[in-house]
Amino acid sequence: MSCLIEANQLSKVFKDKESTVFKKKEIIAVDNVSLTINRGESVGIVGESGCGKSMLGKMLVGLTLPTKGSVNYDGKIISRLPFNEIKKLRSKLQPIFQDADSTLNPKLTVKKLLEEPFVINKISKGDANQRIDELLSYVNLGKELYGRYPHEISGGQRQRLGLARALSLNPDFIVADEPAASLDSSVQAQILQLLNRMKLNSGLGLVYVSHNLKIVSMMTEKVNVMYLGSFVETGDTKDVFENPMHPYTKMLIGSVLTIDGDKRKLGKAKVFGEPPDPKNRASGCTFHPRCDCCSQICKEERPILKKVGNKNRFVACHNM
Amino acid sequence: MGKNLKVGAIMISILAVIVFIGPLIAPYDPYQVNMSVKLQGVSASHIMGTDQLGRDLFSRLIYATGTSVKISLIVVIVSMIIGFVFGSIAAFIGGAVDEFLMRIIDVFMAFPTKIFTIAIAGILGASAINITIALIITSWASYARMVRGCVLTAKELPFIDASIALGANRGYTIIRHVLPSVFQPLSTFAFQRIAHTMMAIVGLSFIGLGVQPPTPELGAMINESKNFMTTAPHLFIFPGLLISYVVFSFNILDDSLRDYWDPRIKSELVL
Repeated sequence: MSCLIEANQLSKVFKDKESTVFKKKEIIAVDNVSLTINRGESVGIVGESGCGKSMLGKMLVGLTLPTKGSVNYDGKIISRLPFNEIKKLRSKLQPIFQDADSTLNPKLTVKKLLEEPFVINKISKGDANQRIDELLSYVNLGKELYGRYPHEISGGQRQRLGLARALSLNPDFIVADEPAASLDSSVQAQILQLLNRMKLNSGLGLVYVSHNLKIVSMMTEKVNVMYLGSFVETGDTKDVFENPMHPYTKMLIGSVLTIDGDKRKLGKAKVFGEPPDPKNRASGCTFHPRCDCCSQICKEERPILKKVGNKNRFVACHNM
Repeated sequence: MGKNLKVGAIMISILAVIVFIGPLIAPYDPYQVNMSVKLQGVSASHIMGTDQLGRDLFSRLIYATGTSVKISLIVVIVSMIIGFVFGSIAAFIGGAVDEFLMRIIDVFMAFPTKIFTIAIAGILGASAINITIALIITSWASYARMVRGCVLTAKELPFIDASIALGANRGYTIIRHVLPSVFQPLSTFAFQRIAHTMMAIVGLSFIGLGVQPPTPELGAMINESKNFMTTAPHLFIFPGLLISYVVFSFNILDDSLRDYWDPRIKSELVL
């Protein structure tokens, strides 16, 4: 397995609108995150809403430039290339967007939307049509939709249309931001199986950005748990889900509802506290106001990811 | 097509016939004075009667509509172009350039149309060209502001990102995605402004600041007719009706086109 995407100490900082000349306020969306994705590997990023998952995903495919740090693809640092150079690599790095509705131009028909990737990359009509037929059968959409506008098809169909567009250029790497959020279970399974097949057959690297832990635990080999812009726990998916170490991971996994109601996996870890405000970060460990095993050092010193055990497991907590 | 669109299209077509083909079928020369038939009512030889100088009202109305409509079209098209260029430059470049251009626009927005036109007429003299210039100066800024707003919104839409992710360059996203999203609100706005501009021209000509007699113009004609209001009411009734007709037809077309161009509403219209 060779390394496909390597992210080194990525940070993304936004200037807060309330900041003035005298008082600079910043919103740290992503804070010093490193990550590698190999060919044919799928990696999950989980965390609460607003913790910077989507921003991280956007940086990995080069849609947003990081404030600090770099993203390497195929030996090239894409985060430092000029626009024209990144453009050539774009077809290989594809995002699947969270909100399929707004990523489809409402004024274009389904046919035009499907053709767009080929028009942009100047691929001949004949090749394009052949590929479109293939894609439509992949994502299980019919040609009868051709003349319709995005608002005239169902949410699931829109999501699959977005997926077809992302797959159309045979990418090497896909960041799937909530790929199955608006789909019902049967279609969800189809889409996920399709992505899985592509991963196995063509060595696609996949990143699942999701708060749906079920999907992440099923689909990924490695998982990164994100809290307020940085990773608090990383490791093999099976390992992390069976034996979460960081208190936040415990809380997150404990919060998953099971079908028989009361028997939550780790019933003891209760969810409490509010999702954090990135403008007012807590000192020391950013999680300490919500942590039930918080001690003095947690309030003062920021923990870094440390290797725990002999497996490929890193946790950022003082209490390990 | 919606019902309104049909009505609007028919009304505008009739107007276009009056403006462009009308001069060919006008029975008399609009400037031809014939004192022997002055202030006549509706008759077979003069289907809308004659004015105080014996000129055929029907022929004059045909030419007058042409004058008013042509001036308002010129004003709207020129201000649309200026506004489009300014607005899109401001939105695309942004930063200090945007800030600078917007302040210029603010200055122009602050001009009161009527007073400014009076000033222009006072300085350069009242004429069709000067009223055109004055109206362009006072109206282009609102187009620029609108275009800037539309471009700024369109630029940030997620489907632009999606397009960039597929390898598109900026030029492609601008032509394919940004400009079409600007074009529709801009043209609706322009259509709406045609009626407004038309009213402004007619109003200014009525108070003597716009098109000067003997050139036939609807507002100027109503002004000339005011002395004969009781004895020859057809002199202001016909131009008045024509003004209402023109304004109404542009308004109804503007309204229905807005619906027609939006695919989301289009499907709900009875086609």
